[in-house]
This record gives sequence, C-alpha cells and structure tokens, in this order.
Amino acid sequence: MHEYTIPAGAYARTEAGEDLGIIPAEIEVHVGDRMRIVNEDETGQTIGPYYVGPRSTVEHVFREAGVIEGLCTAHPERSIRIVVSERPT
Amino acid sequence: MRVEMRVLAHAFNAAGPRAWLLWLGLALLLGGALRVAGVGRRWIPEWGAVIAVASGVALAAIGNAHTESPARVSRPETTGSVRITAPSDEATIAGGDTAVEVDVADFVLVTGTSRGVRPGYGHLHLMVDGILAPLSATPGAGRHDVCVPAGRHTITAVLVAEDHAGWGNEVDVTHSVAVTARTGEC
Repeated sequence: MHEYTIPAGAYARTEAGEDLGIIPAEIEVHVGDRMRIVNEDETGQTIGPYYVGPRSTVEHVFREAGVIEGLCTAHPERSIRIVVSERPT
Repeated sequence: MRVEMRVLAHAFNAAGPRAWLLWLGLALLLGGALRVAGVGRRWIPEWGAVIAVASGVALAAIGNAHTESPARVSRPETTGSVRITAPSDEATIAGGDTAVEVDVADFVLVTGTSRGVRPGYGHLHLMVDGILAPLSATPGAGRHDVCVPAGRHTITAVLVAEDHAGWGNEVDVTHSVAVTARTGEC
C-alpha cells in the first residue's frame, strides 16, 4: 500500500512555495499495488491521474505497467511521475 | 466608540477562542503597568500590580503560542454549475466504454493550465471513483467516453480552477452519480 496524506492547509502552503514533501515527485510501484491518497485539506487537489476532493480519499490499484505523468498541485513544481512496473517474480 | 468596539469584537472573533488568553493577558499587563505608574492606587494594592503583571505575561505567552498558526488562505469561490445528465443516478449500465454526458453552465472551460485563478474559468474534471478520465480533445461539456469497470462506481464531474485545484465552494460545482456496471474491464 502506498499511502499519502495531504494535511489541512497544504495547498496554501504549497502555493507559498513550500515543499511539504507530502508525496514524492516520482513514485515507483508494481502492478497490483494499491495507492491511497487522503486529502485532509479544504482544497481539492489534482495528483497526477487522481482528483482528491476536499476531505476525501481516493484509492486505486495499478492494473498494468507503464508510466503515468501528470500535473500535481501538491508539488511546487506541479508535476508527478508514477512508474508502474511488473512485479518481479 | 461604537465603531472601536465593533472592530475589537471582530478582532476577538477572527482570532478564535484561544486569543482570549492573549487579550486577557495584555489587559492584565496594561492594568498592572497603570498601577505601577500610579493610576488606580485607591483600588489596587502594590502586590495586586505585581500579580497582574505576572499573570498578564503568562496568559499572553500562552495565548500567543496557541494563536500562532500558518496563514490560511481561502480558495476563491466561483460561479458555474455542472451536471451529469447521463447516465442517471443509480442507473445500471452495460459497463466498459460508457457515454457520460455533462452540462456546464455559467463557467468558461479553458485549455491551458495557469497559476492565475479567475472565478468562472477553469477545467472540467470527470472521474470514476476519483480517478480522472482522459477527456476528449475539447475539454468541454457534452459527451465523453469513460471506461467504467464492472461493479458499483461513482462518476463525478467537478469544475476546477485553471491551476487544477478545487474552488472554495467545491460542493456547488460538483455532481456525482452512482452507477452499477454489469460487465466491463478498464
């Protein structure tokens, strides 16, 4: 399980240039891994392929290998990369 | 005088209940200082001034520690409304590629991403269980093909700002429907 929590007030602090280190800019996962993002903030956030509304949680299981790149409002650089690889046997 | 009282009351309310400690501490400090300066000698003994100053320092310190917090910046609110017109709420659908129709009103959908936030301008996010669906080239209202896997899911449309973060009144610009897909793999 890859779990990340966005604390209350995070968006405003990120906007102010602070890197809260909530979620890595690059995440490596395996097929079958589960991602869980909890947003405790009052502002909805786009985290790559997810939109996590205020005080909401999104869960996702990676079904196929690949690279997902997208915008991330939780990073000052505004981007995130998720590398999904086959689980080693 | 009435205006000053209103300003003071507003400051009290805005700062929160913990700030009362700070204000009380400052008041005691002021009272103690006045007594030391010779004011109120008839009513307050010398030791009263010492107690007032000491209590004031302690309460002001506690109150200040509790009221110092990171600045909270509220997200602006926006005009606009969004509605998923198909499928309907609680519908049972075939699953797989599903036509989701969205109505957007009083909101301008833009293509670029910007850090500038203008109420009334932004993007449409369409999600299945919080996972963004890739939208067609024109991210507008109308029909979008969204993959819905077998089982029960929530399809949500939300209007977000040009920086892809939500609005202060997100609940007003969000619409969700629950669907059950008979089959389908995404």
